[in-house]
Amino acid sequence: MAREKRRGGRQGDSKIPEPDLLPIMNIILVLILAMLTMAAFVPLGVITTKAPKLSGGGRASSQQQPQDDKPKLSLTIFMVQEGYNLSMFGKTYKAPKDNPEAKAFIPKRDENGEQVYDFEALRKKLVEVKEKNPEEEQVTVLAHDDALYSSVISTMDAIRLTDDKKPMFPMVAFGAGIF
Amino acid sequence: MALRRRKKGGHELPETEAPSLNSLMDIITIILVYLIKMFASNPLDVQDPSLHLPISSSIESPDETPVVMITGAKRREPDGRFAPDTPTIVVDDNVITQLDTNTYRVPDKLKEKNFVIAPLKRELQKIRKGQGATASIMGGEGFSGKITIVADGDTPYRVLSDVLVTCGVAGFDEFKFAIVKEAG
Repeated sequence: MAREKRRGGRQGDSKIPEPDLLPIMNIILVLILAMLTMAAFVPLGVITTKAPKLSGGGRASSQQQPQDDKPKLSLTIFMVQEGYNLSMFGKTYKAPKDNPEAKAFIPKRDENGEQVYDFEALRKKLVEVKEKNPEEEQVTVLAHDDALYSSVISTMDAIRLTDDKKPMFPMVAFGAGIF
Repeated sequence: MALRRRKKGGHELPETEAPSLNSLMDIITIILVYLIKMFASNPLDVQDPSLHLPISSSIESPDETPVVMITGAKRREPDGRFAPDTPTIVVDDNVITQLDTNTYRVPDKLKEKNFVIAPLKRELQKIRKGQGATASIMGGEGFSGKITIVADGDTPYRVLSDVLVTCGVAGFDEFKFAIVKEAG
Protein backbone atom coordinates (compact mmCIF):
# COMPACT_ATOMS: atom_id res chain seq x y z
CA MET A 1 0.00 0.00 0.00
CA ALA A 2 2.72 2.36 1.08
CA ARG A 3 4.85 1.23 -1.82
CA GLU A 4 2.04 1.95 -4.22
CA LYS A 5 1.65 5.41 -2.79
CA ARG A 6 5.34 6.04 -3.09
CA ARG A 7 5.29 4.85 -6.66
CA GLY A 8 2.43 7.15 -7.33
CA GLY A 9 4.28 9.87 -5.55
CA ARG A 10 6.98 9.94 -8.15
CA GLN A 11 4.51 11.31 -10.54
CA GLY A 12 2.49 13.54 -8.21
CA ASP A 13 2.59 14.25 -4.45
CA SER A 14 5.82 13.08 -2.76
CA LYS A 15 5.73 11.67 0.79
CA ILE A 16 8.63 12.39 3.18
CA PRO A 17 10.06 9.07 4.41
CA GLU A 18 9.95 8.43 8.19
CA PRO A 19 13.28 9.28 9.85
CA ASP A 20 15.31 6.36 11.14
CA LEU A 21 15.10 6.75 14.92
CA LEU A 22 17.28 3.81 15.83
CA PRO A 23 20.62 5.72 16.08
CA ILE A 24 19.00 8.38 18.28
CA MET A 25 17.48 5.66 20.44
CA ASN A 26 20.90 4.08 20.83
CA ILE A 27 22.46 7.38 21.89
CA ILE A 28 19.72 8.11 24.42
CA LEU A 29 19.92 4.60 25.88
CA VAL A 30 23.67 4.95 26.31
CA LEU A 31 23.12 8.35 27.97
CA ILE A 32 20.57 6.87 30.38
CA LEU A 33 22.90 4.02 31.30
CA ALA A 34 25.77 6.45 31.84
CA MET A 35 23.62 8.66 34.08
CA LEU A 36 22.34 5.71 36.06
CA THR A 37 25.86 4.49 36.75
CA MET A 38 26.98 8.02 37.71
CA ALA A 39 24.01 8.64 39.99
CA ALA A 40 24.72 7.95 43.62
CA PHE A 41 21.42 6.87 45.07
CA VAL A 42 22.35 8.02 48.55
CA PRO A 43 19.87 10.40 50.15
CA LEU A 44 22.07 13.31 51.18
CA GLY A 45 20.93 15.90 53.69
CA VAL A 46 22.34 18.56 55.98
CA ILE A 47 22.18 19.66 59.61
CA THR A 48 22.17 23.43 59.91
CA THR A 49 23.72 25.24 62.84
CA LYS A 50 24.41 28.92 63.30
CA ALA A 51 27.45 30.19 65.08
CA PRO A 52 26.40 32.42 67.98
CA LYS A 53 26.69 36.16 67.34
CA LEU A 54 29.24 37.86 69.51
CA SER A 55 28.15 41.09 71.13
CA GLY A 56 30.96 43.54 71.67
CA GLY A 57 29.34 46.39 73.52
CA GLY A 58 27.62 46.58 76.85
CA ARG A 59 24.45 47.91 75.21
CA ALA A 60 23.94 44.78 73.14
CA SER A 61 24.54 42.49 76.05
CA SER A 62 22.18 44.44 78.27
CA GLN A 63 19.49 44.03 75.59
CA GLN A 64 19.99 40.29 75.67
CA GLN A 65 19.66 40.10 79.43
CA PRO A 66 16.36 38.61 80.47
CA GLN A 67 14.03 41.13 82.08
CA ASP A 68 13.25 38.98 85.12
CA ASP A 69 16.92 38.31 85.97
CA LYS A 70 16.26 34.60 85.62
CA PRO A 71 19.57 32.71 85.57
CA LYS A 72 20.59 31.52 82.12
CA LEU A 73 20.83 27.79 81.47
CA SER A 74 24.07 28.08 79.40
CA LEU A 75 23.91 24.41 78.55
CA THR A 76 27.28 23.00 77.49
CA ILE A 77 28.03 19.41 76.57
CA PHE A 78 31.60 18.20 76.95
CA MET A 79 32.50 15.18 74.85
CA VAL A 80 35.41 13.78 76.86
CA GLN A 81 37.28 10.52 76.19
CA GLU A 82 35.14 8.66 78.73
CA GLY A 83 31.69 10.00 77.82
CA TYR A 84 29.67 13.18 78.36
CA ASN A 85 29.92 15.82 81.04
CA LEU A 86 27.35 18.60 81.22
CA SER A 87 27.38 22.17 82.41
CA MET A 88 24.19 24.04 83.35
CA PHE A 89 23.64 27.31 85.23
CA GLY A 90 27.41 27.57 85.59
CA LYS A 91 27.73 24.23 87.36
CA THR A 92 29.61 21.34 85.74
CA TYR A 93 28.30 17.82 86.16
CA LYS A 94 31.10 15.26 86.04
CA ALA A 95 31.40 11.67 87.20
CA PRO A 96 29.85 11.23 90.67
CA LYS A 97 32.53 11.06 93.34
CA ASP A 98 30.75 8.32 95.25
CA ASN A 99 31.06 6.01 92.23
CA PRO A 100 34.76 5.40 91.53
CA GLU A 101 33.96 3.30 88.45
CA ALA A 102 32.12 6.09 86.64
CA LYS A 103 34.47 8.29 84.65
CA ALA A 104 31.96 10.75 83.20
CA PHE A 105 28.52 12.10 84.04
CA ILE A 106 27.10 10.00 81.17
CA PRO A 107 29.77 7.34 80.60
CA LYS A 108 30.35 5.54 77.31
CA ARG A 109 28.55 2.23 76.85
CA ASP A 110 29.79 -1.04 75.49
CA GLU A 111 28.63 -1.92 71.98
CA ASN A 112 30.03 -5.16 70.53
CA GLY A 113 33.17 -4.78 72.63
CA GLU A 114 33.65 -1.16 71.61
CA GLN A 115 33.14 1.84 73.88
CA VAL A 116 30.73 4.29 72.24
CA TYR A 117 29.03 7.48 73.41
CA ASP A 118 25.63 6.84 74.99
CA PHE A 119 23.48 9.06 72.77
CA GLU A 120 20.19 7.73 74.15
CA ALA A 121 21.17 8.44 77.77
CA LEU A 122 22.20 11.97 76.73
CA ARG A 123 18.88 12.52 74.97
CA LYS A 124 16.93 11.31 78.02
CA LYS A 125 18.86 13.68 80.26
CA LEU A 126 18.32 16.60 77.90
CA VAL A 127 14.57 15.88 77.68
CA GLU A 128 14.46 16.38 81.48
CA VAL A 129 16.44 19.62 81.15
CA LYS A 130 14.17 20.87 78.35
CA GLU A 131 11.02 20.14 80.41
CA LYS A 132 12.33 22.42 83.15
CA ASN A 133 13.59 25.10 80.70
CA PRO A 134 11.20 25.04 77.73
CA GLU A 135 12.26 28.47 76.39
CA GLU A 136 15.95 27.51 76.03
CA GLU A 137 17.13 26.49 72.56
CA GLN A 138 20.88 26.97 72.55
CA VAL A 139 23.60 24.50 73.46
CA THR A 140 27.36 24.52 73.08
CA VAL A 141 29.30 21.36 72.23
CA LEU A 142 32.94 21.00 73.17
CA ALA A 143 34.70 17.84 72.10
CA HIS A 144 38.15 16.45 72.80
CA ASP A 145 40.64 16.48 69.94
CA ASP A 146 40.19 12.84 68.93
CA ALA A 147 36.38 12.78 68.95
CA LEU A 148 35.16 11.63 65.56
CA TYR A 149 32.95 13.73 63.32
CA SER A 150 30.39 10.88 63.18
CA SER A 151 30.13 10.94 67.00
CA VAL A 152 29.68 14.72 66.93
CA ILE A 153 26.85 14.38 64.38
CA SER A 154 25.14 11.65 66.45
CA THR A 155 25.49 13.87 69.53
CA MET A 156 23.85 16.73 67.60
CA ASP A 157 21.02 14.38 66.65
CA ALA A 158 20.52 13.53 70.32
CA ILE A 159 20.57 17.22 71.28
CA ARG A 160 18.34 18.68 68.56
CA LEU A 161 15.29 16.41 68.62
CA THR A 162 13.39 14.27 71.11
CA ASP A 163 12.52 10.63 70.34
CA ASP A 164 9.23 11.75 68.80
CA LYS A 165 11.06 14.34 66.65
CA LYS A 166 10.05 17.43 68.64
CA PRO A 167 12.67 20.22 68.66
CA MET A 168 14.73 20.32 71.82
CA PHE A 169 17.92 22.39 71.49
CA PRO A 170 18.14 23.16 67.75
CA MET A 171 20.78 25.91 68.02
CA VAL A 172 24.09 24.10 68.40
CA ALA A 173 27.34 26.03 68.70
CA PHE A 174 30.84 24.57 68.80
CA GLY A 175 33.80 25.41 70.92
CA ALA A 176 37.44 24.76 70.14
CA GLY A 177 40.71 24.31 71.95
CA ILE A 178 39.38 23.51 75.41
CA PHE A 179 40.77 19.98 75.79
CA MET B 1 14.72 -8.69 -5.94
CA ALA B 2 13.51 -10.92 -3.14
CA LEU B 3 10.04 -9.51 -3.54
CA ARG B 4 10.02 -10.30 -7.19
CA ARG B 5 11.15 -13.85 -6.49
CA ARG B 6 8.40 -14.33 -3.95
CA LYS B 7 5.79 -13.03 -6.38
CA LYS B 8 7.01 -15.38 -9.07
CA GLY B 9 6.85 -18.38 -6.78
CA GLY B 10 3.32 -17.52 -5.83
CA HIS B 11 3.98 -17.73 -2.04
CA GLU B 12 3.29 -14.14 -1.08
CA LEU B 13 4.06 -13.50 2.61
CA PRO B 14 2.03 -10.91 4.51
CA GLU B 15 3.89 -7.64 4.60
CA THR B 16 5.02 -6.72 8.16
CA GLU B 17 5.17 -3.07 9.06
CA ALA B 18 8.17 -1.70 10.92
CA PRO B 19 7.26 -1.23 14.63
CA SER B 20 6.57 2.35 15.61
CA LEU B 21 9.30 3.61 17.91
CA ASN B 22 7.47 6.79 18.85
CA SER B 23 6.00 5.58 22.15
CA LEU B 24 9.31 3.99 23.15
CA MET B 25 11.06 7.25 22.31
CA ASP B 26 8.60 9.11 24.53
CA ILE B 27 9.29 6.81 27.49
CA ILE B 28 13.04 7.05 27.08
CA THR B 29 12.94 10.83 26.68
CA ILE B 30 10.89 11.15 29.89
CA ILE B 31 13.40 8.98 31.78
CA LEU B 32 16.27 11.07 30.41
CA VAL B 33 14.61 14.36 31.37
CA TYR B 34 13.86 12.99 34.86
CA LEU B 35 17.50 11.94 35.34
CA ILE B 36 18.84 15.28 34.09
CA LYS B 37 16.48 17.13 36.43
CA MET B 38 17.54 14.93 39.34
CA PHE B 39 21.19 15.74 38.62
CA ALA B 40 20.50 19.46 38.23
CA SER B 41 18.42 19.82 41.40
CA ASN B 42 20.89 18.12 43.77
CA PRO B 43 23.40 20.80 44.78
CA LEU B 44 25.54 18.36 46.74
CA ASP B 45 27.49 15.73 44.86
CA VAL B 46 29.79 13.47 46.84
CA GLN B 47 31.82 11.20 44.58
CA ASP B 48 35.11 10.98 46.48
CA PRO B 49 35.84 7.31 47.30
CA SER B 50 37.47 8.28 50.61
CA LEU B 51 34.39 10.08 51.93
CA HIS B 52 32.03 8.17 54.20
CA LEU B 53 29.44 10.59 55.50
CA PRO B 54 27.85 10.03 58.92
CA ILE B 55 24.19 9.02 59.18
CA SER B 56 21.70 11.40 60.77
CA SER B 57 17.96 11.69 61.42
CA SER B 58 17.91 15.19 59.88
CA ILE B 59 15.47 15.59 56.98
CA GLU B 60 16.77 18.95 55.79
CA SER B 61 17.87 19.06 52.14
CA PRO B 62 21.14 20.60 50.94
CA ASP B 63 21.38 24.18 49.71
CA GLU B 64 23.40 25.84 46.97
CA THR B 65 26.38 27.07 49.02
CA PRO B 66 30.18 26.92 48.87
CA VAL B 67 31.44 23.51 49.99
CA VAL B 68 34.40 22.75 52.25
CA MET B 69 35.29 19.08 51.99
CA ILE B 70 37.54 17.10 54.33
CA THR B 71 38.30 13.75 52.72
CA GLY B 72 39.11 10.62 54.69
CA ALA B 73 42.25 8.59 55.36
CA LYS B 74 40.91 5.41 53.75
CA ARG B 75 39.91 5.16 50.12
CA ARG B 76 37.52 2.46 48.95
CA GLU B 77 38.96 0.63 45.94
CA PRO B 78 36.71 -0.67 43.13
CA ASP B 79 37.15 -4.22 44.48
CA GLY B 80 35.72 -3.12 47.86
CA ARG B 81 38.99 -3.11 49.80
CA PHE B 82 40.30 -0.04 51.62
CA ALA B 83 43.62 1.61 50.78
CA PRO B 84 45.33 4.38 52.75
CA ASP B 85 44.76 7.90 51.41
CA THR B 86 45.89 11.39 52.39
CA PRO B 87 43.13 13.44 54.02
CA THR B 88 42.71 16.68 52.10
CA ILE B 89 40.81 19.93 52.58
CA VAL B 90 39.08 20.95 49.37
CA VAL B 91 36.96 24.04 48.67
CA ASP B 92 34.68 23.82 45.63
CA ASP B 93 37.04 21.35 43.91
CA ASN B 94 40.18 23.42 44.69
CA VAL B 95 42.67 21.57 46.87
CA ILE B 96 43.60 23.79 49.81
CA THR B 97 45.94 21.57 51.79
CA GLN B 98 46.72 17.99 52.63
CA LEU B 99 46.70 16.93 56.27
CA ASP B 100 49.66 15.35 57.99
CA THR B 101 49.02 11.62 57.64
CA ASN B 102 50.98 10.71 60.78
CA THR B 103 49.24 13.09 63.16
CA TYR B 104 45.97 13.67 61.25
CA ARG B 105 46.37 17.41 61.79
CA VAL B 106 46.57 20.53 59.67
CA PRO B 107 50.31 21.28 59.24
CA ASP B 108 51.35 23.93 61.77
CA LYS B 109 53.14 26.03 59.13
CA LEU B 110 49.75 26.71 57.48
CA LYS B 111 48.09 27.94 60.63
CA GLU B 112 47.68 31.44 61.90
CA LYS B 113 46.83 32.17 65.51
CA ASN B 114 43.66 30.68 67.01
CA PHE B 115 43.26 27.61 64.79
CA VAL B 116 42.90 29.61 61.55
CA ILE B 117 44.08 27.77 58.42
CA ALA B 118 45.60 30.59 56.31
CA PRO B 119 45.08 29.20 52.77
CA LEU B 120 41.51 28.17 53.61
CA LYS B 121 40.76 31.63 54.97
CA ARG B 122 42.12 33.25 51.77
CA GLU B 123 40.01 30.99 49.54
CA LEU B 124 36.85 31.61 51.58
CA GLN B 125 37.42 35.37 51.53
CA LYS B 126 37.81 35.15 47.74
CA ILE B 127 34.47 33.32 47.53
CA ARG B 128 32.85 35.90 49.79
CA LYS B 129 34.11 38.75 47.59
CA GLY B 130 32.95 36.87 44.48
CA GLN B 131 29.46 36.39 45.92
CA GLY B 132 29.24 40.09 46.73
CA ALA B 133 30.43 41.13 43.28
CA THR B 134 28.01 38.73 41.56
CA ALA B 135 25.12 40.07 43.61
CA SER B 136 26.00 43.68 42.75
CA ILE B 137 25.93 42.87 39.02
CA MET B 138 23.12 40.32 38.86
CA GLY B 139 21.06 41.42 41.85
CA GLY B 140 19.97 38.90 44.45
CA GLU B 141 20.73 38.37 48.09
CA GLY B 142 24.54 38.47 47.83
CA PHE B 143 26.68 37.00 50.56
CA SER B 144 24.58 34.66 52.69
CA GLY B 145 27.16 33.41 55.18
CA LYS B 146 26.10 29.81 54.53
CA ILE B 147 28.66 27.09 54.00
CA THR B 148 28.36 23.32 53.64
CA ILE B 149 30.86 21.12 55.45
CA VAL B 150 31.32 17.71 53.84
CA ALA B 151 33.59 15.67 56.08
CA ASP B 152 34.46 12.02 56.40
CA GLY B 153 32.92 10.40 59.48
CA ASP B 154 36.37 9.56 60.92
CA THR B 155 37.63 13.16 60.78
CA PRO B 156 38.90 14.11 64.25
CA TYR B 157 37.39 17.10 66.01
CA ARG B 158 40.75 18.94 66.04
CA VAL B 159 40.58 19.22 62.23
CA LEU B 160 36.87 19.99 62.21
CA SER B 161 37.25 22.76 64.79
CA ASP B 162 40.11 24.34 62.79
CA VAL B 163 37.90 24.38 59.70
CA LEU B 164 34.89 25.78 61.59
CA VAL B 165 36.93 28.53 63.22
CA THR B 166 38.45 29.47 59.84
CA CYS B 167 34.99 29.60 58.24
CA GLY B 168 33.80 31.83 61.08
CA VAL B 169 36.79 34.17 60.70
CA ALA B 170 36.11 34.41 56.94
CA GLY B 171 32.52 35.47 57.71
CA PHE B 172 30.67 32.19 57.14
CA ASP B 173 28.59 31.65 60.27
CA GLU B 174 25.85 29.27 59.13
CA PHE B 175 27.20 25.73 58.88
CA LYS B 176 25.44 22.97 57.00
CA PHE B 177 26.93 19.61 57.90
CA ALA B 178 26.44 17.07 55.13
CA ILE B 179 25.01 13.75 56.26
CA VAL B 180 23.36 10.67 54.82
CA LYS B 181 19.69 10.64 55.72
CA GLU B 182 18.64 7.77 57.95
CA ALA B 183 16.50 5.13 56.22
CA GLY B 184 12.81 5.34 57.11
